[in-house]
Amino acid sequence: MTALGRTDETGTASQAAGPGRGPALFRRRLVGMLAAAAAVALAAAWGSSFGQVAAVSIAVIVLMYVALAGGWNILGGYAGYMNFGTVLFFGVGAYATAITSSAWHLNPLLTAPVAAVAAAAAALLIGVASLRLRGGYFAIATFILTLAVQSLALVLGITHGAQGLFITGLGISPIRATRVFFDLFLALAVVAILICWVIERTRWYSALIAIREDEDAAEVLGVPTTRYKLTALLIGAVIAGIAGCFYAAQIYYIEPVGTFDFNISLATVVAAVIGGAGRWYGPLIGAIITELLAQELFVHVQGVYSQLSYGILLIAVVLAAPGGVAGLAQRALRRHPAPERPEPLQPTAQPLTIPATDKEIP
Amino acid sequence: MTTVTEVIATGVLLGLIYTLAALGLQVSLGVLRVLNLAHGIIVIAGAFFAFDLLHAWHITPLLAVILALPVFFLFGLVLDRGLVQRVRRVSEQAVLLGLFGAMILLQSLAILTWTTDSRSITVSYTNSSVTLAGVTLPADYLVAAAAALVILGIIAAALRFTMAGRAVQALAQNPEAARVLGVNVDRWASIVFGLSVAVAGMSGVLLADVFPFSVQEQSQWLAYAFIVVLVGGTGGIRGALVGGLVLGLAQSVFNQVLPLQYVDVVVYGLLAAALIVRGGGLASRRERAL
Repeated sequence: MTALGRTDETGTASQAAGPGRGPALFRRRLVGMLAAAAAVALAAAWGSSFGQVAAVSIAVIVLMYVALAGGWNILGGYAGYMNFGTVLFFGVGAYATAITSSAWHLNPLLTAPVAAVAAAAAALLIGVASLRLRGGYFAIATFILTLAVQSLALVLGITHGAQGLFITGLGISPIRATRVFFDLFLALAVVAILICWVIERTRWYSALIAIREDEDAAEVLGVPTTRYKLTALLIGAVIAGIAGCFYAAQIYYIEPVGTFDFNISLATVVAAVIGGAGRWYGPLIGAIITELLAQELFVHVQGVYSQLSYGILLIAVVLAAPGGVAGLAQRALRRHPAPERPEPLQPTAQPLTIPATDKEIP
Repeated sequence: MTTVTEVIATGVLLGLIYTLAALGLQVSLGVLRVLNLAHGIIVIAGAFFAFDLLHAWHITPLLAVILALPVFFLFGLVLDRGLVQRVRRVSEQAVLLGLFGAMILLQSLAILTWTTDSRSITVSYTNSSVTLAGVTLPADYLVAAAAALVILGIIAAALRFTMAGRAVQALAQNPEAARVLGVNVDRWASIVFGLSVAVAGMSGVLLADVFPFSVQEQSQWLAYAFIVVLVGGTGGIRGALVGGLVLGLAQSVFNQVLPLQYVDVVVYGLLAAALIVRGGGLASRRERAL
């Protein structure tokens, strides 16, 4: 798993851009991308063939939270809108898979597009209603809407209420299934992290940061805030919906209380924040730390202690290290300024002139 | 056979209890612009406070309400100085995350202390009813609602007629101007937050009289309080009363006409409706005045 952490190289490549460094920049980028691809390939090989099954099944959980936290990061990290309802989209995806796969007699994994569409529809409904609310109100609205959807799943006929739904298995051995789901969640995690990485290199990123820093100012400057926030929520919801589909296919049986479990939302937020919200590698670091910690605490003491430690960690990070582990690492290294803070303009004594050049700007 | 008058009267009593249960959240939001996510767990802590006092020293809940005031006020001060004031200096997101962390931390401590079992309190007036002018009402609702009304009245009077109340109003309307005019803003912010926590704890004591309670139900109480704030706005006790009565009446009516398991769906539906109708109008300057 730690092999994935090496993809850090690519994140800093763009910072090195300077006059006359075009080829060097290209080389560094290429090396970074190759390293990332190699790390992912290595992880895939480990999970699908020689890795111990017990370790692989833990890695499946870690990867699920890498994906969820990566999806959360887009709205929560960049735009600063805390979504405390990730599990809502996760659960909607899981239920969409359970309902359609049994109705159409399909392999549950083939219903992933349905789960994605269902989660996107839920995000659209909820986003239109709640994204007009600012910061804190949005956070608590997502929290309560999770309770609303859960209570809806408990009474609707199509979800079979508290009885829950069974999902047809994949017809493969449990060990084989663990390896298959490792690959699926690995792919989803890579996609989620890649989306964050790409976003950080677009204008859209600046717009989202502007929304986080001062939404009124962003709006005045022409950022279509509501549409951007909605898109950010949608991307995160689709990732969560697909994760829900995989989850449902993996555990065969879902019911409202366990599927819409608030702890899934909690673990997602904690992973992103502790790793470093607003950085593409933050969710990756955070999910590894928090899920391995939760696993240890669950095995050795009680589940409630992982909540206890999440609470303490959240408060500690907010008070002492607002940038999370990624921020701390960056501060320690100093060499790489955070991508979200562009270099301030240097005051110059001379009037600004643009030198005539025939060189192409890289 | 319950009559229409009884349903409405029960709704009003419920509404008064909900108003008090939401007032803490509303005050910290309206005056300090701090969304206290730990509100629900503090309310539940109040309920367990009443339970423990009753079982350890046979202190009745009505006396426990008064004892809860200093205890929860002190706890609020600690929470404010230790966490809220610090995260307010960082960013809006930090306030949310810090209080979210506090909620998770307090909830897990509460589970370790009180387990996840559901409790209820039995006192002399539990399961008895009072008939007033032909309307029969449960006595425990009546006692809790009366106590809530007294507390609401005291707070309203204090805000209106005391110098401290005026300082708090000034703080709510314009913190900068209040600072210029000699209000010690940081100190008053601590006191207001402490009082909002105290009111939440006191409302928990009254709730324990009426409803069964458990630690994990804290999210439900946070949700109810938020619905009250969303419906009534952050404009002081009058707004909280409007929100509380709407929620109480809605619940009382739906309890009669719908199967029990649908009541939650409808109550949360009310939230969705309030969200869509009120939308961006929340917490605007107009509504912040107490």
